[in-house]
Order: sequence, then structure tokens, then C-alpha cells
Amino acid sequence: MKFYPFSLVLIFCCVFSWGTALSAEPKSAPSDPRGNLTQQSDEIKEQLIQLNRDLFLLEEDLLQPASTRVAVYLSMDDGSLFDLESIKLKIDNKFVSSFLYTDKDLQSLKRGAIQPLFQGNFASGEHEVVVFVTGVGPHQRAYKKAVNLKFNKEQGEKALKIQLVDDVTSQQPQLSIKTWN
Amino acid sequence: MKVLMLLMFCCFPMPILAAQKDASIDPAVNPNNTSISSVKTIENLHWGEVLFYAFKDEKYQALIHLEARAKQNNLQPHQQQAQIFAAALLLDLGLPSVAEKRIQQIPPLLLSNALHSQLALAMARVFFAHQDYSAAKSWLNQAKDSELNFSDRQIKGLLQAKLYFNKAQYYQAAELLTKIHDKGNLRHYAEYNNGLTLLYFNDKKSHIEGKQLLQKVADLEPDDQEQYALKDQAKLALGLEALKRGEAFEAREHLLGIRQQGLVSNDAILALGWSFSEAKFYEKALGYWDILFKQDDILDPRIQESWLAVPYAHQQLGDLQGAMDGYLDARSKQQQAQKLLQQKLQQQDWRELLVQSPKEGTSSFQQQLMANPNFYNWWQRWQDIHHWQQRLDRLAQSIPTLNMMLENNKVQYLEKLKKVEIFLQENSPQDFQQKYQDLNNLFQQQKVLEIADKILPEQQSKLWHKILETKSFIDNHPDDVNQDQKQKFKLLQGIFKWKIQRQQQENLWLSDNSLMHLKIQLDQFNQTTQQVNKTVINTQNNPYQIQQLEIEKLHNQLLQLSQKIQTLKSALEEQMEKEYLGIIDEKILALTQLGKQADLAIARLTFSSVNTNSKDFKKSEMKISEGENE
Repeated sequence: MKFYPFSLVLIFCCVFSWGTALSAEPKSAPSDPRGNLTQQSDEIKEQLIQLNRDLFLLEEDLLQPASTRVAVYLSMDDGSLFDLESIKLKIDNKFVSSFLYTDKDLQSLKRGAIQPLFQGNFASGEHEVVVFVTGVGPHQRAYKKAVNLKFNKEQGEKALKIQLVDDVTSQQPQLSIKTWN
Repeated sequence: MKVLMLLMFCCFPMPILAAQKDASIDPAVNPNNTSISSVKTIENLHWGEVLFYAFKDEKYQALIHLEARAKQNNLQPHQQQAQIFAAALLLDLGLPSVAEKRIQQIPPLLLSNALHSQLALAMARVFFAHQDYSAAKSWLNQAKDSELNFSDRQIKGLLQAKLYFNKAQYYQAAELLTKIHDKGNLRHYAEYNNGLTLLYFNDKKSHIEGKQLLQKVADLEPDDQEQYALKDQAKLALGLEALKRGEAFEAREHLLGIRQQGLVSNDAILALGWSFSEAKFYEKALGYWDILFKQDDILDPRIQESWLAVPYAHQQLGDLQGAMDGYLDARSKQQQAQKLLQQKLQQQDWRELLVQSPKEGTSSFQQQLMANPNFYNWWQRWQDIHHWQQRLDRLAQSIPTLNMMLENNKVQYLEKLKKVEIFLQENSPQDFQQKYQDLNNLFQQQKVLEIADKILPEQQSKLWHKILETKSFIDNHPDDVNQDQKQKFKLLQGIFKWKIQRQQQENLWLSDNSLMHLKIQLDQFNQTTQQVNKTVINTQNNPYQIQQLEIEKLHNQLLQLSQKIQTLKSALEEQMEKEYLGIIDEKILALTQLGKQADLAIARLTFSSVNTNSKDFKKSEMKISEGENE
């Protein structure tokens, strides 16, 4: 007996060729006997989405209350001068986050999306954040860069934004970090 | 066939409806675009965050983030765009009705042309899902290509092609499909479908084009298992098409290229047998059919077909005994297969398909079940809801964590509360009030003094006392001091008085001001203390009551949803079971027919053998009588 991966079986079902189905007449989709299975299913899914949303917000509130929350985001532009490979984040001399980039992540960032890189709790007062990036720069050279920022955490959420921008004039990628609010 | 093709289309991964009014944020407008100026970063962090997941194809995550940020009202100024985007994500997740509700909440008059086109595309998808094809077409016409980005135009093209398929307008569908850009295996599926579609036409040109497209898929250099399977399918289609035209040699060329362990290898072996049989090479045909005949998978229809094909070949080769044995064998195998089907019926083995992980294999019988559109439909819906149930299970796992976090926060809060209470005890507002009052009284006393010693610095105070002593000496001994000295002393005394006066006024002003500030701060402190006291009194028993209640509410919702999913799954299983019974019935009927055909063949063979024997008997009788006569 032969065994095939499930996905292939599905392709087989979907792309079932005319070798066996050339004369097959189209069959109508199976009727919903209780009339409302689809509706039930939709309602359940909708409720689940709402539940997930509420749990997500509650979790965020409990884990990082707005009064102590510091969030770090990353955005980049076209990225033609720099292939980002990894990023590390240090706040107050402690490594708090690191990330290795896949093609999908990079494509998403290059299309203008913003990556939520880190969220944590910090007391009011002055803090320092240091960002280290590695990747491949112009002329296929290994590229490392770091940038730091001192910021003052007050009451309310603090958002910081790391930006990787191609500088056309110098033909070098530019790394910067700034507070968002 | 049309249904199968539509099914195939449903398997196409739909590229995400790109989240852009700002076409500029999406280089997908031109996938080869690398110009820096074309990409603008988004200024709203939360919107950018939603897009991060969406562009990564994590649609569910994107939707949850979008819903959460929308609830927090954090998506301005992308609110309308977000609504349309949410609808597109809901469509991708198979929720057209919910998407429709979402779209209906958007005021259409306020939309820009680009947003209107995106909305129209989403509506077209909604109506297509509801099988209202004319409404879908009408909405699709409102989605202007010039206003859509690359991925949206792809979706529009696919939807349009589906609509053509639905109306059996294969030529238009084929034309549209050629415009679909390279999106992984999507292009190969499109070419395969195009090829099959073109073979439908009677004109020679389309026929040739169809074959060329299928050949293109058949010549693929496969990168993954999916492409291998598609390549085999294309070869099989080409082989069968050649066989249909009576081109046995050409058919064999295609069929021999199919993998031996592929999904359609048994189809290929069977067809190879027929290709030789067509050319009357029964010995070679027998060789292929024998491969199937010897396989154990007695529920595979291709193997079942070989049970009759093998004795047929023997018969054609004049091996009547071999044919008779073959038919008898077929009869016995048919009975075994029927028994096995009865067993499967009792064992309800279709349920294995519900629990099998995608990495495990399926038997050919299970493949046949899945090839049944109705069964597959119910199975797919079951799997879909099962997938959502897994999401729910993951959410359920977060409840204990939330409770733990809440407890932790509560402990921390109580610790801080204790510190506040101690501070309040040690620093009561009344004490501060008293201290202020004393300070104020002292100040008022100093104010009324002519020259307030206490507010003079020590050195100046000493000097002042010296001046006072000198003055009393001059007053007591007026003759010892001349007029000039008296004049100088008066001047010195005047300057010093003026200095002290100025100093005193400055000090008074400063003290007055400081006291005023102190008073304000004291009032503020009193107010804060009162508030803290109030808060302490209000929340001392359960400071996190609201969050606690929220967790409990969500937990209850979660349990209710879990129950609903279970009920829905049972209903879907009921439907699958019904289909399963129907399939088994059909298979038993087909096997009964096969048995009858074998019986008929056996009867014919027996008859011809009896006939031959009787003819031989008659012939021998005649010979005997002839001999006797002689």
C-alpha cells in the first residue's frame, strides 16, 4: 500500500484530471441539511475573533500596563542598499530582544509595514536604548551598525522607532532611532 | 469537470487584498520597483503593525491586531481603509457573511476612488462566495484596474476567470489566466487549467495550444512535491488525450514519463495497458495490467479494472484457461473487496481522516473518499472548524497565564499600597499644616519688628550692634566727638540702615512668596492625600476586580464557544457519515457489476468450451461412423 502526504492528496482531489473525470458531470454542492451549519460556523468564528481580540488587549494591559509600557518598532524603506539579517536591542545595558529576519519579514517591511520589535515595562525616568543591526551592505560586504538613544520615560506609553533608510547620496544605509510620542 | 476545475480554483492561495489606499506604500504596484522614493513608511505605528502581519501572510494575526487597534481607536486616519482591509482578511479566512456586514458599516459616499475600488472588489468576492454571480460581476466591474495595486489586480483577474468558468466561457477564462503573473505554483496551476480548458474546444488551433500548455507543465523542472504531482497530472492528461485520438505510440511516450510512486501511477499503468491493447499487443498490455492485478489494494478502482483486463488479455491471446482462471480470481477478489467494504462500514474508518496529521499518508481508499466532492466538502468544513477549535484551545491556554499575571500585579499593588499607608501615617497632612502655621506666625512676628535681627545674616547683625553701641557712645559723650566724625557716623548709619532695609524687604518678599508656594503645595498635598486615601479605601478589598471579572467573562465565553464547536463538528460528522454510506453503497454496486461481468465472461468461456467439446465430440462421432462405414 502506498502512502502520500495529505497535501498531495488534496491536489489530487482538486486537480483530478480528466483521465478519470473527463465525462464527469458537474455535481451541485452538497446542500446544508440543517440549513444553518454555515451560519453557525460563521457565528462561531466571528465570536472567536472577538474573544481573541479581547484576550489580546487584556493580556497586553496586564503584561505591559500603559503607565510603564515601552514599545520599540522597526521600519525600513526600500532597503536596496542593505539586506537586514538580524537586530539586537539593549535597554539600560541589558539585552531585551533580538530578531533574525526571514525573506517574508523583509518583504513585509519593504512594503511599508512596521515591525513591533519589543514591548516591556520600565519605570519613569531616564533610560538608554542601544540598537545593533547586522546584514549585508553595499558591494556585498558584511555590515554592522549600532545606534543609541537616551529617552525619558514619563507617565503613559513610550514608543521608540528604529529606522533603516537608504541614503542615496552616500550610498550607505542609515540607522536611526527616535521617540515616537 | 467544471466543478473539479472550480474546486481547483478554490485551492488557489488568494493573494492578500493589499492594504493600500496609498498605492505608494506598496511596491507590489510594480513588483520589480526598487526605487527608494516609491516606498513611504506609514506614520501610524498600529496600522503599520497590522500590515506587518498581513504582508507576511499571517492573516489571522493581522486581523486580531487590526480588531484590537480599531477597538482602541488607534487606527486613525486609516479607519475606512482598515474596515475594507478587515473585510478582505475575513474573506481570506472564509467568512464572507461577516465581511459583508463589515463592509455595510462603511459609508460609501465618503470613499476615495481607490478605496471604492477596493470595496467593490471585496463585495465581488462576498457575492461570489454567496454564489450570486451576477452581483459579483457587477461589483467586479466597479473595481477599476487603474485604482488597484498589483495583488488586487491578481485577485480581480482570478475572480473574473472563476466567473467565466462558472458560465462555461472557457476561452475568456483561459485568456485571463494567461495574464496571471508568477505567484509560485499558481502559474503552473493556471497553465494546467488553461491547457485542459483549451482541449475542450473543437477547433484545431485551441487544441494544439492546449496541448502545448500541458506539455509546458509536463516539462517542468520540479522544485517541490506539488510540482511533481502537477507534472504527472499533465502527462496523464496528454497521454489520455492521445489515447482518445487513437495515437497509442504518442500516448505511451507521455505515460511512461510518469513517476512510479506518484499519485497517478496506477492510472498511468492502466492506460499503458490500454495503449498496447489498442495496438493489439496483448502480451505487453498483459505485462502492465499484471502489475496492477498483483497489488493488494483491492479497493483501488484502477486495480479492480485490471481484474477484468488481465483475463481479457489472456482471452485475446487465446489462453482460455488463463482467462478462465483470471475471471475466477476476479470473482474471488470482488467478494473479498465487498467484505472489506462491509468491514469498513462497520469500523467507520473514514474517521481516521479526521485525526490524521497532514504528514501521515492516506490509503487509496481514503484518497477515493476525498475525491468525492460532497465528502470532501464536509471534510474540508470539518477541518476548517477544527482549525478554529485549535485556535480556541490556544486561547484557553492563555487564561491561567492571565490569572497568574493578575495575581502578580495584585501582589505588587498591595506592596505599594502598604508603603503608601506607612508614608501617610508618618507624614500626616495635619503635621504639615501645623508646621506651616508655626512658620507663618514666626514670619508675621518678624515682619512687625523694626529691624528684624533674626532675618539679618550674622555678620551684618554684629555690625548693626556695633553701630548701635557707637550711637549710644556719641549720645553719652557728645563733646568727645567732633562734628565731622558725627557727620561721618550719620552717613555710615544711614547707608547701613538703607542696606538693612533693602535686605529686609527682599527677605520679606522672598519669604512671603515661599510661604505662598508652600501653602499651594500643602493644599495640593492635602488633595492628593485625600484622593490616595479614597482610592485606598475603595480598592483595598479587590483592586483588580474589573480585570478579574473580565477574565471570568472571557473564560465563560470560551467554554461556550468550545461547546458550540463540538456540536457543529458532530453535525458535520453526521453529514460525512451519510456521504460515506452513499460512497460505500456505490462501490458495492460497482463491485456487484464487476462480479456480474466476471460471471458472464466465465459463463461465455464455459459455454464456448462446452460448445468446442461438443463439436469435438460430434466430430469424433462422425469420424467413428465414417470409419465404421468404411
